[in-house]
Amino acid sequence: MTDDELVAGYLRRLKRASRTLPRPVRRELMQEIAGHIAEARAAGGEPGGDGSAALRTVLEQLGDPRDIARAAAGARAGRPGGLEITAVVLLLVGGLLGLAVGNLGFGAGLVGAIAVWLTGAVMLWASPRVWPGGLALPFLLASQPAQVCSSGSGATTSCTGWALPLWLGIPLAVVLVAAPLVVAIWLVHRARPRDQRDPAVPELAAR
Amino acid sequence: MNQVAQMRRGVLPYCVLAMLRHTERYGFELVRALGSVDGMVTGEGTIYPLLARLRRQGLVVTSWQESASGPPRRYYRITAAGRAALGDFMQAWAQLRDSVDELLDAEEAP
Repeated sequence: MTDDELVAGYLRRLKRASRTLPRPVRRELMQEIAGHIAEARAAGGEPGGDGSAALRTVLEQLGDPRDIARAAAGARAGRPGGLEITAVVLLLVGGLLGLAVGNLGFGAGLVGAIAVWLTGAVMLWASPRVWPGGLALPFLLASQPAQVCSSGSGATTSCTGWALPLWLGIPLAVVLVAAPLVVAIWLVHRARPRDQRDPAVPELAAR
Repeated sequence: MNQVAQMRRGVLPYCVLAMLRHTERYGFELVRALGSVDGMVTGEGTIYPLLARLRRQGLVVTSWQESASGPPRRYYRITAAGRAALGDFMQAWAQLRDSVDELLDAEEAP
């Protein structure tokens, strides 16, 4: 394998490992690492002969491309922003509000509660943070509070709840109330600073 | 994650700022200098994301400068905010170091 192939292979692995980074961050990272290798080769003297061994050392000292990509991902994710926290609160409160208002029979209130919940969902969508599993996961999970809302409104109009046998209705109600809570707790847990779970680069005190 | 590596990671941003205190440097130069300090850095490549973050935090600024021997280089220069952060750290570090030394020395005595 020639030196150029060695470098190309390394950069290819870095490119693959950093595919989840935002484009400008990734571009800069690729640029910096490629620049580092070029500088090291220029400083290393004549190509060929002992050059390959020297180049391997350069790449070894740079480290595993996956570690570099992980450090970049960790450096990007800071504390959860107000956006994420608000979104989670809205997702939680919107769903519960829908349940409460629906039982009281205020149709307009229900619409309002759903609007609150939708705002939360949209904010989560707009959040720059990449949730694990992509956007499909929060949306899959976010459908749970909507079920609370619809079951709430159902109970007022035709007492759907009573139509269910108790052995099914009670666990179902528990699940419908617990699900948004669990989802909210889980989202907040995910929103914790990344560095604590996956130490990459420490968070520097914001000034 | 081992404790020493974690401590090292904690102080690394300030070591970078300290290296920029008197002069601006380009990435390769910084990384090589840090890498040559015994046990300071395990993977040199992970310093570049750190540099990018220091810039996003406004602690350093960068500029491209022509190089005589190759492509242009990205130079890093410390900002006033960077100096302030470094100053705070140096004070905290001196205090912490003395306190820890004192405790460790006390433990060694019979």
